[in-house]
Amino acid sequence: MFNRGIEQLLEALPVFADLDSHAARRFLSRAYMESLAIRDSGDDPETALADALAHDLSRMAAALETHAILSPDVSQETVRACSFVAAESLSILDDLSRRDISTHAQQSGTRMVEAGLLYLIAGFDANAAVAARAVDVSAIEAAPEPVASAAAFAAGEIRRLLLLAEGPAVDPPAEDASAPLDLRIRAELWSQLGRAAGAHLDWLHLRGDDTEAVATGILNGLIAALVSEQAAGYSDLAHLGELIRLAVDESGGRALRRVDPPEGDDGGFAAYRTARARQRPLLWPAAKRYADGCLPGPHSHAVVAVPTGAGKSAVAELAAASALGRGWVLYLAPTNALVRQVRRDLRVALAPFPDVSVRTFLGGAELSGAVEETLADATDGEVLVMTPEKCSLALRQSPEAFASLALCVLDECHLIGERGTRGVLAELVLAHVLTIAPEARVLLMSALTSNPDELAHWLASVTAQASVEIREPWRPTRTLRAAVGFDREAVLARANDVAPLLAAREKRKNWSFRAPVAFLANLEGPWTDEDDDAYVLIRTRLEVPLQLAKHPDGSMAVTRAGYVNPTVGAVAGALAREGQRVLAFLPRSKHYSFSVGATVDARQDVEESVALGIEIEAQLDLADFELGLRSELRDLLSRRVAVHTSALLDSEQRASELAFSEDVAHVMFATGTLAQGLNLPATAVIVGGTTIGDPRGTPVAEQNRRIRSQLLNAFGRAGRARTAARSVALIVPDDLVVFDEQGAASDVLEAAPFLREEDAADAVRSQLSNLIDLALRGEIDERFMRVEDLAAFAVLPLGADADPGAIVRHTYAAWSRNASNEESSRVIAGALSRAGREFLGERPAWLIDAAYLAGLTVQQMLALHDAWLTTSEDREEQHTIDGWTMRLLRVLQGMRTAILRELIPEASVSGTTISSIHDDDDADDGWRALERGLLAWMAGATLERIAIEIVGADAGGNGSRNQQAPLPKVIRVVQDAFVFSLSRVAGGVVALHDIGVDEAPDQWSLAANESRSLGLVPLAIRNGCDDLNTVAWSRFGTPQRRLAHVFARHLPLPDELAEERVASWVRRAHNEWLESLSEDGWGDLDAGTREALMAWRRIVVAERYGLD
Amino acid sequence: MPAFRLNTDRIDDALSCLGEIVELQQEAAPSHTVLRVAGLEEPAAVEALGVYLTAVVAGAVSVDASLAEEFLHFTPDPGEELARRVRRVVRDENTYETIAQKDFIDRSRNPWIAEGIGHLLLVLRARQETLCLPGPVEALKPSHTNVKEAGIDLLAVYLDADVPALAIGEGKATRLNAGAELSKAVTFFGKVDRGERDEHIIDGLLILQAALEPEVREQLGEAIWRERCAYLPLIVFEQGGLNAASDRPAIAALAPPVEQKRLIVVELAEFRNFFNRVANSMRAAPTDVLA
Repeated sequence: MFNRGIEQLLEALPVFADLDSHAARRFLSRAYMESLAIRDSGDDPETALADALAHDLSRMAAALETHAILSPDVSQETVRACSFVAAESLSILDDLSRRDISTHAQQSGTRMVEAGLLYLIAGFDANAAVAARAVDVSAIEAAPEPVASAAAFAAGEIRRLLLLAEGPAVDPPAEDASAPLDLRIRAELWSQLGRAAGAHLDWLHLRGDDTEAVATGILNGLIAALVSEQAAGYSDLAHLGELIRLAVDESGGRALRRVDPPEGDDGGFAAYRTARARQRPLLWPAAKRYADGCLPGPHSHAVVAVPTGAGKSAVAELAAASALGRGWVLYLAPTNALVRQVRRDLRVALAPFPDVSVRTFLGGAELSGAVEETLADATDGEVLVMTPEKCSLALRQSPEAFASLALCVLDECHLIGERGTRGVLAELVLAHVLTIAPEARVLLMSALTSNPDELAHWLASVTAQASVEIREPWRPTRTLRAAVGFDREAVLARANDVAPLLAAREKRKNWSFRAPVAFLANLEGPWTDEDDDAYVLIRTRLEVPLQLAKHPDGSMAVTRAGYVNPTVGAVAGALAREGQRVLAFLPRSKHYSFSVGATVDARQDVEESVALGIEIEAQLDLADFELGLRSELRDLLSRRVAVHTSALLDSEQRASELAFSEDVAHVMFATGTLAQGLNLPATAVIVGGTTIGDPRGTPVAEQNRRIRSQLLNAFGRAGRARTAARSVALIVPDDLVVFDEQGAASDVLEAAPFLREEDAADAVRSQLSNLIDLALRGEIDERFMRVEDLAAFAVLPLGADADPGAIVRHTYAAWSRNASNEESSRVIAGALSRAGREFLGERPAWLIDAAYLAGLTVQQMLALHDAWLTTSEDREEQHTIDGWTMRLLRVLQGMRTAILRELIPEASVSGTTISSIHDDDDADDGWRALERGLLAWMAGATLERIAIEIVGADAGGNGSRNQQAPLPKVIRVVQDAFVFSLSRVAGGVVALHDIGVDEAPDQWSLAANESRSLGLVPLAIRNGCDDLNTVAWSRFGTPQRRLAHVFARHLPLPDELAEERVASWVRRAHNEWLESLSEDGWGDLDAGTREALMAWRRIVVAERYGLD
Repeated sequence: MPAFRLNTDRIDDALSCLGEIVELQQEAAPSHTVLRVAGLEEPAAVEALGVYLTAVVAGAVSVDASLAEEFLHFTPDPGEELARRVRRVVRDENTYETIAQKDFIDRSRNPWIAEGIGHLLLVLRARQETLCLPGPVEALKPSHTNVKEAGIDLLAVYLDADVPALAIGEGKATRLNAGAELSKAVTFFGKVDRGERDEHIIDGLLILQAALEPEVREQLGEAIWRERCAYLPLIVFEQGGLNAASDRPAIAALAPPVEQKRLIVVELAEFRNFFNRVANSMRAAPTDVLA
């Protein structure tokens, strides 16, 4: 249940006989498990065990709190450690009492005030806020007036402090001079406590009196007067005052207001700081260390390695806010979904800056001929958010824009170490930025990096700038790790009941029966303990179906067949119904999420009619319009079940994200990739199965690495700091585990060895190192190059006038190999350039530049070049986007199968008619299906229509999302083959023409309108458009593909509109449409189109007119 | 502020008198240890007890006076306030006729005095070796003056073989229902056992810190964790009302060992008369305890 951060914190605990750090952790875990309502407590819910646990918790809390506040010369670390354990104990005690699990009856309101203050003293402000919500202000003291009113006032102000609630302090009730003296005094002391809490919160909020000492002054005076052997009648207030004083001291040290504005701040940072301080006035440890070590400026690079949910985003936000005054900010995130989330969050956070702009550059790495697709107009005070792929293109197209870059953030920086092309690309992007943006400071962030020190040394070494490593294991929540299995006795009993039935049916091979689920949990943290005492079995009331199988010889055994998904569904539903927010990962297949989700009802009352809310409904309406069918997600959400997989449309994913984050959905089923990045915190995580994807064809070592990484990452998603201090993470292993009384930890570890490890943090190692080594030894050979090496050739400038050495010198790989000096980088650059020229053979050298510009490997560019020149041209078709697209398909048709597989991967089109394009002999049907499907996509057809083109006529009307259904296949083809692959290839053709027009004008010159149409093809393929109008509307009006067609039809671009005016014209027309609130003059629109337009209008208004 | 000084000589004399007269006798029982208190009904003891209890009230008034000056910015008249507080505790007379009068005497006045007796025994243990506790009292939370205040009646830190321990007491007064009142006291200690009074223990220890040596404060957390604690139920009743030495399973179930569960019994020959005399003594004492 406890990670390294807590382990470190608890090292400062005093040792009281048998109470030490280990014992404290075990007590807390055991009691938390008991508090889970899902457990089966037998006939008597008020068990002696629960009461004994409550007794221990209470005793532990009292002992440690007493030590923290009474022991002389106690260190700050010990105060924090004692306060944490005491707070956690009181909070769990409260859970036990509320659920009538324990008879422990200390007054809840008082207990949670105390717990909240202790959490604040320990530095866990999010947990303090959770405790505060349980405080009943009016019940804080049952006393005659004026004491009752003053106590309620004070409790209210303390509660606001614990919540760090917005709003100014309130005034205490008026004094009542007619009351007896001791009541007047008591009322006044309560008022003083309330004033102190309110004054401190005002100070944290940068509101009112600017002196930090106001609260401290009140409290010091109060405590000096009350901590006296004689003041027995007010000892409770002295106690409360002491806790508030400690909380004020601790939180004051972490105040955001202590972060100074950067030099020359024109008020923007100060305004940001004030606005932010009113919402989140405290810095968590990573942000505090960043502020102390790197701000103002930031003046230093930093590498931040913190667990998931520990405030990484806040570090980046603070860095960006500080940097905006001296240039623009580049924020790199690994996925488009994350890019969108970062944009949404930063737009809100940085809104106090005057004229700040947070823009995203979405899409792939394809080159486009369209203006405004470049970074050339990046200006100071702007934040641009994009993927490394998109940035790679920007670096090639607009390197000059990076001169004024002030900060580059790389979120999920472990991406650098990822195998395949993405890691290499991310590293080279970063090296390129370091090369051409000398004033920029870099912020690398990850929850999965174990060597931030090395990365920090790299940055410092290659830039001669200070670099700070921030390795901070603190996390605001705790996660109990448990394995899901079955109690041996219960399984045997149930199996024995059905065994005679199975034996009696000669032809039956198996018989289903239901068995109760049990959890085996480790009491401390990762499952590293050998002794059985570290594990506890929790029996639950949940039952799931198991199979008793009959073997040919008549013997019988319980099989594991098909048990994982039903178990995940049952456990997820039960946890959700008892108030948990559950993320259930089903990493084996993206299709499982829908099928398991369909079996779950997460509503507490099956009669409940769930209101989805305007924005979720709007997203679903857009999905319906795109699909041409009713989204099945709607039915799931109405049962409070969300789904998040790559088999969903963007609008469906967004609807699910909103539903889960806004508590409409209480359980979300997702594939493992969701674990990477998106901020969807949960109080319970379930991982269903210990296999990722289809393991066939993947080397065992690589499969094990992926399992470990993805499943640990999934476990890391457990924790919703502002909702619950504790969470639970459950694994349902592929191999069914049965538990004995003594547990079965070794069986579980065999099935799920990743449980031994705390997180998936690994040392980030450069994937470029192999190429650097080969280059240094002069041994680059194109026949034996790895995919990572080839990727480098796609993004390094290797042309005649290029200097790849400067970029190489800044790479992590070169630094790791002691090759970041001028001499070594010259050798490496020379070797790479030579290799590039060798690839060319007799072909023109400028093709290397074209490959670099398009982000294709040299080999891919050569193949494209050769095929293009040998494919017949039809000047007529070159006037239109469709025409160019047809030619592009003919070019691809003429390529060798091996290169074609690189450009359009087989997996992207499998299961559809298109798949036959990879057959050497019988590819015609495939190419015809590809042509029909692609043109339908670009013409704005529904996905249902496209399904008919590429899957078959019987695909019509089928909205199912199961594995064999047409829709998931169509979504994959569209996303992987069209949007990602074909648009990139089209970008290659654009690059050939862009450079070829100067280098070989006879072959590559085009008329102006031909050139303009060709330049738009990559975008048209990516966005699903087929003419200038629809491309313009998809770029500047709406990213909704089919709506772009609707707009283009009804609000076409004026004839002769200059290209540079297209963007402003579309934006203005879009805004006028928004404000008109109707589609007057658009003729007859069908109901689906009207609903989609209305949905789009709602979404835009919700985002305050923010458009990509 | 008008002078508010206690007549410490008078109070000290009262304590010395009580120290000489009051005797404790220890008796073994299967589930606990019995401490019988003798001598309290003697006239000198009654008068001294009245003075001592008035001094307890005066101590609280003294604290309130300084708090009023600091936080309410006015100075109460100490004599008046002390007289008012004493009246609140014992009223002006001992009339036992109406239901309200009986209720006050049985449920407020007498229990408060009983609690004061417990407090006195701990004060005496701080001054001299007695059987009340196996070691000297290092600090003692003052008795409260609000007769209906919830919380812990008696809380002290004492040294048991030089190691800090807590003493927690609960006083009861009843003429005839000693058994029932003892059950209530045991119920209270059951809550202490379960940690339901921990907050009040910490409250009390916090204000005692100035009176404790650093090495004692250092060990208080461990004392709580190890449950180094003596329970002191105190029952004041009329002769013959309780067989204090009999085995009591409810007491046996409490956490501390037998020798740390010390049932203090004050068996009076004239129950009502004793409390009325103490009240009379308190009514006369305010002028005595103020210097």
